[in-house]
Amino acid sequence: MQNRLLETFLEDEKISKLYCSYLENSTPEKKELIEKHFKIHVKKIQIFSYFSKILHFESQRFDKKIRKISKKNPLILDKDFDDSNTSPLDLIKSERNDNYFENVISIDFRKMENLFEDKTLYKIVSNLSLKQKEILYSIYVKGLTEDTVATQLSVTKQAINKTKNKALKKIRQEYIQF
Amino acid sequence: MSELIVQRFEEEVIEMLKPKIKSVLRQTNPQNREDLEQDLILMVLTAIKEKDFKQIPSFFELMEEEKNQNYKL
Repeated sequence: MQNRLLETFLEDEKISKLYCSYLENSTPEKKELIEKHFKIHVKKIQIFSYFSKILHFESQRFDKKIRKISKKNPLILDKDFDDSNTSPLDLIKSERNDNYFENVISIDFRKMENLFEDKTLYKIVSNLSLKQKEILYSIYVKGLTEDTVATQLSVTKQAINKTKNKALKKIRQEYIQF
Repeated sequence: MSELIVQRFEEEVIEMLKPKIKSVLRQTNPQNREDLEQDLILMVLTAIKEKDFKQIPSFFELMEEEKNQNYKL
């Protein structure tokens, strides 16, 4: 027997009996019955071989689909996005940060060095003169313009600018030295 | 009657493909496994109903061929 299909078909005991009885005494009914069984058998084999090949790819496609859905609708907050280190958790507004900023604003300019966590920066800023601290504080922490600061301290705009640049230069130089 | 046969046929095919499906499930993460299994079985069922497979000669034609080949040998 060379044809695998016929071989596997006739392996079934019921079928081979049916075929034997057909060979002994052939009737159209028996022939039809055999054909019907054979058709079912062939279709089974076809489906089986088709899906043995395809199931693997289908399951990969399913995985892809799931990944796409979970990317669009992330359920877990601390899970990284695919391409970066940010997670949805980072994007949620934090109340602590707001409070922190209010604390910053309410710091006295005379103790401006308390803003810095960096030790060297703390030392440098604490060594600045009161005037320098006040000006830097007004411009960078309060966010005022040089113009406003000048009118508040009743000095010229140029003087403010000069003191600011001098202070920044001093900070920069000393920071490099450390 | 014929509906019953179809149903039995479907069950047999799924039973036959079960081991293969189970092995494929292992590649996805555990929480999606059941979903994937359902998806694959559904796919098999629609294929049984709708897919046209290549027509194969009937049993007796194949038997004739087989005999002819044996003669040649």
